[in-house]
Amino acid sequence: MVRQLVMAMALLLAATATADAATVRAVVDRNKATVGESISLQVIIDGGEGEVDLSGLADFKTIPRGSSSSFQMINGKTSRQLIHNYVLIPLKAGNLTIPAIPVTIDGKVHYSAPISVTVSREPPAASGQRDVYVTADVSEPSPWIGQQIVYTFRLFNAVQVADAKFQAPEFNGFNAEELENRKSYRTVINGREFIVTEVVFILVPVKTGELEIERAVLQVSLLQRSRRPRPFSGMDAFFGRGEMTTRVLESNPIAVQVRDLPSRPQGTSFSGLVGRFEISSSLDKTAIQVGDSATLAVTISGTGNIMDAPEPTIPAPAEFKAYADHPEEQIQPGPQGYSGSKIFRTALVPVKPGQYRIDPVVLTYFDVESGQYRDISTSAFDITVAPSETAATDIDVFRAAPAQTPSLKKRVEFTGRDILPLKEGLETLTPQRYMSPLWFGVFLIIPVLGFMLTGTIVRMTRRDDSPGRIMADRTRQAIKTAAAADSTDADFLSALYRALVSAILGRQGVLGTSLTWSEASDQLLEIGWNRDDAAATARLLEEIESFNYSGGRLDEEKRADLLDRTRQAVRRLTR
Amino acid sequence: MKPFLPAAVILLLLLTFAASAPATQNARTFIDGTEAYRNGDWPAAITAFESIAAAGVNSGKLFYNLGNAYLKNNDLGHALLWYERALKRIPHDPDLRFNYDYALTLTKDERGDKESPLLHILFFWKYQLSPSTVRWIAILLNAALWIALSVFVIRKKRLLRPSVLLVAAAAVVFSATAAFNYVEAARIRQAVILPEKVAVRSGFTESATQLFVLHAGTKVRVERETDTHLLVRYTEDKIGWIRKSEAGII
Repeated sequence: MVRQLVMAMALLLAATATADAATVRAVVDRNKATVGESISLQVIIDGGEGEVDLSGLADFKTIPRGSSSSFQMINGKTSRQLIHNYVLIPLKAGNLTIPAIPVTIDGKVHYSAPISVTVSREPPAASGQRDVYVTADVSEPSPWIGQQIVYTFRLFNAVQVADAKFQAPEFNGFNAEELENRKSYRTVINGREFIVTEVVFILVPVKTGELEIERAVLQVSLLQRSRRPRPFSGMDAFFGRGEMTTRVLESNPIAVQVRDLPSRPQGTSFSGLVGRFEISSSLDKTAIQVGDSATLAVTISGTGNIMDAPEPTIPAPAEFKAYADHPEEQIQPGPQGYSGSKIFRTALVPVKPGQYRIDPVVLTYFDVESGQYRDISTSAFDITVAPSETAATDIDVFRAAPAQTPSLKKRVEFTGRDILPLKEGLETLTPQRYMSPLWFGVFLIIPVLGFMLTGTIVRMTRRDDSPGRIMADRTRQAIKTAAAADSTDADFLSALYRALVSAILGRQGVLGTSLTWSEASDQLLEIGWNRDDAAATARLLEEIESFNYSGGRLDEEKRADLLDRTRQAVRRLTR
Repeated sequence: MKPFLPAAVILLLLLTFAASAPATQNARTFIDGTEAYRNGDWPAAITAFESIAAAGVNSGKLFYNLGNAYLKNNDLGHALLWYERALKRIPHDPDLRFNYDYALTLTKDERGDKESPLLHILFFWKYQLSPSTVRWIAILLNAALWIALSVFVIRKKRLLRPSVLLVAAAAVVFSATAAFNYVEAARIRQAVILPEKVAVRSGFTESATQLFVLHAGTKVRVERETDTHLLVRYTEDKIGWIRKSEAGII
């Protein structure tokens, strides 16, 4: 255990000692180059691992190319070497310096020694002295808006190239499409043979003014004889060996002045075509019968935005029905841009016999060469329509609703912008009434108060229709009837009976019209009367009943007595 | 009694004259302003209309005219400020909407106060109706509700009927929306950037870090205010201080 610990500490110490002894070197394969030509840079770290910071290399484009490491043990002494590989592309000519490159090893920063590099400008392309270079140009530096132009990027290489990576410009302000087939051919410049590879884009400017096509960038690897000294390097020539170097080639930026189309002449209907076009037409039959069809083919051909050619308006006579077919397109992108033809076929069916004339089809396009709008037209056709041979048996050809014409409606765009005028009436000075939160709350509360008031009034004015109240009313009414001086005995007695019964039942809270004397007694006992009082009132009821049913006459005294006793009982019951 | 009658009539006339004198003055200034506008003298029109507004005339149409005059005078910040003020008063005026939309096309900054479209769908009545309309609908629904309840009380009918519940729900929704509109108007203050370009800084001094730049006509939310500066929020993540003179409170 102790032995293992000692060995581990020894290894740790050895590692520490190795780290302390770390050194950093920067090596380039050459210190003379031309702009865009690559320089191979190696940052070599002996005795450790570290992070390389190349942010100080402002004059060069840096491309990392991986790293490698090696580990050696000689005579018991270990050494480790880590190599970071980069490709440097000088961005300008002159005496440039690769500054001291900081490398952070275990938190400590080590620096390599600075390296001077002389970068010279490339010889002119026409001299034929360059091994590889690129150019870019456009077919028309001042096109009209909508006019197609051709952008051509060319790679000239007199030496073998590989791993080409092409980065096209953004083509801001253009619709761009690259031609699929890249052309390659040989050419001789100042006695030296070059292979030329062309990349072609068709550009259509979509806005006017000064536009710039940015630089196109091509990164290629060149197979060159090895520049790094190696043992037995003299044998490379014999074995044809070489090494790949990277070049970044940039084309020149191109300024394009896009011109706006001139204003259209009055009365013309511009088709939207910009380029150079022709129009022709053919009619397959000039003599047909009613109900038969003749096909009118209108062909628009030329160079430019032919794909945008609209369906022409066929000036067929009113006695013809027209049925348009899908247009046939034969359009190819080529070195001159898009060219081809578009054929519009229309079936014409006459509905009436006679001699007719189909007027020429007129197309207005913008001619980029003359810089003017041009009207081109087809020839007119005469057509003879004979009556149908089968007219007697066929169903008549009715003139139907006009064929559905393609919609010519367009989105309405502003042609000018301005604001609407002032409000000039003096009502402008009328202030807006603003409802404050308080008033809003008041308006909300008012209906609630109204509701509460309504409820209170309803409660206050509502008649009490409880049985007790109804019976009390009846009692009061009956006493009033009984007390009337002109009432007959029968009325008097039935009124007293009604008053007494209503008073007793009302006290109980029930409705009713009759009670026996025993029921009356029970009811009065129930409400808390003493036995004697209850019995006396029950007897009064019985007495009233007996007078009523016996039919005897009542003298004044008896009437007053019965009325008085009934009143007393009622008063006590309704108290 | 008789000797007091002429004196009372004279006093009444004097009071009427005293009340109508500023109105007449405003009308005269207004006519001068429209005349100046017609003649292309935008600064004179602005001066005339602003003097009327300063006199306390709170009119959306007057603010619209001010917006027009400022826009013609190439002062986009003030134009949008007055259009925004007019929108609060006459939000559905077609002329105002047209000119406001046009002025917005001239601004350089994107709108910072983008609201969720989901909110516009869920609370469509708040966004489709003006605060004034919402208020009156709330008042009418509330009145209809309590009148219906009163009728039911008088006629001794059951109060909780489906139709009443529906009206009650609508009344609650619109009343709550109106209340929210009041709170929103009182709590959420917005401003419009007035100069062509304003640096929004992390502090009050010119040496404070410039956080971002806003341009004339951009609408911001005022979060805080000091005597000299406003803390404005452009979007959720962009907030900073500007001078008070660089923005107009809507």
